[in-house]
Amino acid sequence: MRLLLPRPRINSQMYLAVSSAVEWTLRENVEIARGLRRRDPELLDRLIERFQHRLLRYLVFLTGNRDLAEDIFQETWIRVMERGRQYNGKAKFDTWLFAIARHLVIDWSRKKTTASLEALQEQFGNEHAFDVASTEPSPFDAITSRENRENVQTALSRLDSLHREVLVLRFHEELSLEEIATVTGAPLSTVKSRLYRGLAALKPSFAEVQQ
Amino acid sequence: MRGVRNHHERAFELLCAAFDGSITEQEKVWLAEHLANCAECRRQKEQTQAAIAALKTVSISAASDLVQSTQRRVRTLCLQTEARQRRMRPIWMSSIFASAWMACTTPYLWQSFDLTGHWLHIPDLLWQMAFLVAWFTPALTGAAVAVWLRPQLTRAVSSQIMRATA
Repeated sequence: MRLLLPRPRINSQMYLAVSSAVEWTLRENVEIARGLRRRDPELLDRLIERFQHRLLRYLVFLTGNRDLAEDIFQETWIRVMERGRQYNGKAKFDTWLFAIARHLVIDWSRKKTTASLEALQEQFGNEHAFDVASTEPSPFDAITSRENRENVQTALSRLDSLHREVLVLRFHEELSLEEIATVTGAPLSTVKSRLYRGLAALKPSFAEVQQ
Repeated sequence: MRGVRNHHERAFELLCAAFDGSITEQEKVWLAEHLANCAECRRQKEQTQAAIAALKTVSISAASDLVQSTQRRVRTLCLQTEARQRRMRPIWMSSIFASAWMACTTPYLWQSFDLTGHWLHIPDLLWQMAFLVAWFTPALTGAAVAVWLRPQLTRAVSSQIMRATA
C-alpha cells in the first residue's frame, strides 16, 4: 500500500527535472544525427563552434603537441562530415566526437610508424602544449599560481598519453567512467586503473606546494 | 608492515573512487576512519585534491582563425559532396530509365523489327543493326543530357561555394 502512495514533492520535481533533461538531450542527439545525415553545413558550423575548446583540449592532452592537435582538430570535423551517417543519435554526440578524434590520432601515429599513443609524447610532445590560465589576484597568489602552473606543466608532460587522456576526459570534460570506456574502447576496469595511476603520477608534483 | 601498506593503497583507491562518486557508504565510513588516524593518507588526499584542482586550471582554447578555417573547409566539402551527388543524379536517373526501357521493350522491339525486316525483305544484319540503335537510343539520350547538364551544374555549384566561403 505504501508503494502506491505518491512520491514526496521534492523527489517528483527532481525526477521530472532529470527526466526532462535526459529527454531534451536525447532529442538533441536525434536532431544532430538527422542534420549529419543531411550534411547540413549550418549544423556543422554550430557544432564546431560549440565543441571547439573541448575537442582541442582533448587532442592537446592526447598528443601533447598543439600544432599536431590543431591539424587533427580539422581532420576530425571533416571525418564527422564524411561519416555523419554513422552517428545514430543513441549515444552522446561528444563521446562519438572524441572517439573519432582518438581514432584519427591512432591512424596518424600508425602512418608515422609510431608503435602506440605513448610514443607520440616522446616524438612530438612539447613543453608549451599545456598553457595554464594566468589570473593572478595578489602577489602571494601569483607565486602560488606560478608554482602550480609549472607543476602542472611538468607533471602533464611527464605523464603518458593514456593516463593524460583519462584525466582530461574525467576532470575536464566530466565524462562518466562508462563514457570514457566508450571513447577509449577500453574495459571499465582499465579506465579506472588508468585514472588511479594518472592521479598517483600527478600527485607527487604537488607535494612540495602543499608542504 | 604489508597490511599497513595495503591499507594506504586501499585508502588511495577509495579516495580516487570518491572523486568519481563511485564509493559505497561502507567504504566511505572506512575511509573516514582511516583518514582520521593516518596523517600520511590525509596528506595524500590534499595532494590529490590539489592535483585535480590544478588540472582544471589548464586552459586550452581554440584560436578563432582555426575555428573559422575549419568551418570554411567543412562547408566547402559539404557543398562539393552535395554537388557531386547532384551531378550524379541525372546519370543515375537516365541509367535507371534506360535499363527499365531495355528490360520492358526488348521482346516487343525484337519481334516488330523481325516482322518488319521480313515483310520489307530487308537483310537480317540491317534490321538487327536498326534494332540495336533503337534499343540503345534512350541510354544514349540520357548520357547526352547528363553530359550537357554537367558544366551548368558545376558552374552553379562553384558560385555557390564561392558565396558560402566568402
